[in-house]
Amino acid sequence: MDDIEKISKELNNLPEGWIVMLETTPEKMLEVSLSTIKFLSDEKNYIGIIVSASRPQKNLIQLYKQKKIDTKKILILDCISKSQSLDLEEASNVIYLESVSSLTNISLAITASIQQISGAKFVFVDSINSMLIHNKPEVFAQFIHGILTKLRIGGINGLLISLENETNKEIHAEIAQLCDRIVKI
Amino acid sequence: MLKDETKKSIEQAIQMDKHGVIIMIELPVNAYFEMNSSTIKLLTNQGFEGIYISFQRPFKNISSFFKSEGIDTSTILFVDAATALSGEQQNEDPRCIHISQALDIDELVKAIYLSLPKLKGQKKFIFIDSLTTISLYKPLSQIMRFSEFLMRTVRKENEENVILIFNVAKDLTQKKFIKDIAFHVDQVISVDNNG
Amino acid sequence: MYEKKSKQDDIFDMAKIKAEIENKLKGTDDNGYSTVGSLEQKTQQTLEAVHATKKPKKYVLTGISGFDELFENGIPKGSNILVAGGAGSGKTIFCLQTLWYHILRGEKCFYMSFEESEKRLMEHMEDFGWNPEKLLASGNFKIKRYLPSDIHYVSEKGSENAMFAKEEDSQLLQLEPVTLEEGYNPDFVVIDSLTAIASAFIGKEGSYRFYAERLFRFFENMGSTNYFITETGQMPETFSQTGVEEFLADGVIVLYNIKRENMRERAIEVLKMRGTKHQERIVAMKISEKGMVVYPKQEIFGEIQTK
Repeated sequence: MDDIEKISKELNNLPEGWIVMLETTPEKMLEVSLSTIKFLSDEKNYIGIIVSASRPQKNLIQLYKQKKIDTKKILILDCISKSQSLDLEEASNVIYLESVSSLTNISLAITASIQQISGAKFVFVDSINSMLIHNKPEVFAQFIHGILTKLRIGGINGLLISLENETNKEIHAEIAQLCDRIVKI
Repeated sequence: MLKDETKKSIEQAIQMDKHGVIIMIELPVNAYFEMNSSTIKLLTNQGFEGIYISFQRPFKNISSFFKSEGIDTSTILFVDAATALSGEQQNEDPRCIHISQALDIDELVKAIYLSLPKLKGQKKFIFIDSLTTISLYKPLSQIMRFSEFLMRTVRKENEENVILIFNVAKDLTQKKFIKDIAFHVDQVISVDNNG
Repeated sequence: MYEKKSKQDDIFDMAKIKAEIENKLKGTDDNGYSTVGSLEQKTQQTLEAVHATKKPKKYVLTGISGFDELFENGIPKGSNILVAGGAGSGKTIFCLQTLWYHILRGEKCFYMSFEESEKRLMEHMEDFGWNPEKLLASGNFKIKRYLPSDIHYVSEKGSENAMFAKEEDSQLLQLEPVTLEEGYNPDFVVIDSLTAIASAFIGKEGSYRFYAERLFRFFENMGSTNYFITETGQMPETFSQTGVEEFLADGVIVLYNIKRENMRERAIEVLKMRGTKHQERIVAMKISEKGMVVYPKQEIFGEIQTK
């Protein structure tokens, strides 16, 4: 069974409003992210809210286009570009946030996004490990808990991606226990 | 979801010939909540009524999952502390007590203290999910005070028989405060990845 | 006709139980009267309730997006409120924006500045598009700059040294601030700031405490709702110069400018407000192009360290 088959099988077995953690290797992380987003937006017809702490939007959009992902169905919350003083191009599907460590702002942005976007959607946090570089683990766990609770109350699907065996064991457990499934790719 | 062996261990623990049994269940993180709900199903099928205290998930999510698993939620009183922590609006439900946003441990203690006598059945439980999640928000001294209150309550001589269950993710059992609590429980049941 | 009872009926009425528990948690009975507190407190509460039915308490809003949602009703009219925070935390903007909201509603507002000039304050308002010239022209808005020594006691002998009196002195007359224009009774007053006033008392802190008490009483008697700005550290543990002001004040609003690595994050809380229920947590706040915005449901992630 290939990776995307495995992911789709797991997601199809869960009722709407699922929260899933994807665990993978550094080599496969990008491909797993892209394939999952493509599956959810193309096949399941979800709108995607991508919290990007790994890549700036310019790079992401390029990758999405290469993968033939319909970027009109994607909203990117770009946590990188502003803090790195990169070019902040005006784009209808990108919101620039202050930085990866600005968890309150990120939470506000996610809340506003899920309120504004109607219909079936998912929130994708990319990635746990990138965010932990910039945030204290306990604070980050609080943030994830808060976000996942908001998603659960709204019946909105959520995806977290992390590197297998690279995350602090305790924080990994704190976050993973909040998820409906952990899918190892 | 839980293997027969595990179910048997839990059954034996809850049937211990002892007043005020306290159990700690250690669960793997994968399918953590599914295994949780299997425990609750086991208890309700055996005629237990109880209080489910949730720091992890909001009431809305728990009750819909429990219903989908065929769990009779009419015998469970929920205490939802998760919704408050997220700052979200709390919808009224006759089966759920919402704790305020301040998440005052005293308020929680009061809620449990007042709820217990309202359960009319002979067999009762208090289920905590989970202390490690609330420890992200509150100082350990308050967590320990809360745990001690619970343990003291169920072990009171003149209290009706109540089973107290602490739920913990396996990878978090090495935390010092969890070890301290585990020292005082009657039984620790460790569930492996297969249930 | 046989009616099958639900399992719930057999056991208990959950809705009733839950209502009873929640009432007890709130410390109220079904009528909303408190079931806790001393007899004296209960008597006082009963009297207040009786008065409340005859004369409903009035509340005022600030008009700041999201901030008023932190209260059950609003700020009790006629309150003395401390607006505390570190440099750049938004205290002046908070007060100016509140006044702007009330001026637009035809209420009289007075800004007493012991720090910034009238011109600078008007520039702040222009930055947010509040058109200060128009507000001044309406007659409902006055800004005036003072020196701390402009507010002082006048004794029978007319000595300014009376300002530094440590005790209630029978020779002291009423606190006599700079008189306002005849017939001008503002509904809202901002005193910016207590810190500046306190600077006149360096070395005479005992006198300041007494003075502060008289100052609060003066503004209370005016009948206006008053905002006293007070400068603190960025992560304050006390919210006024001496601590006595926060005791005297009816309410304390604290603004934060929290350091996160190389960034700052804004937050606000209602630390205290007598006479109304309010949220008791620190929530997110931003200063946008249009003014201050508060997010009453958004908690702050991370510690708010005092060191």
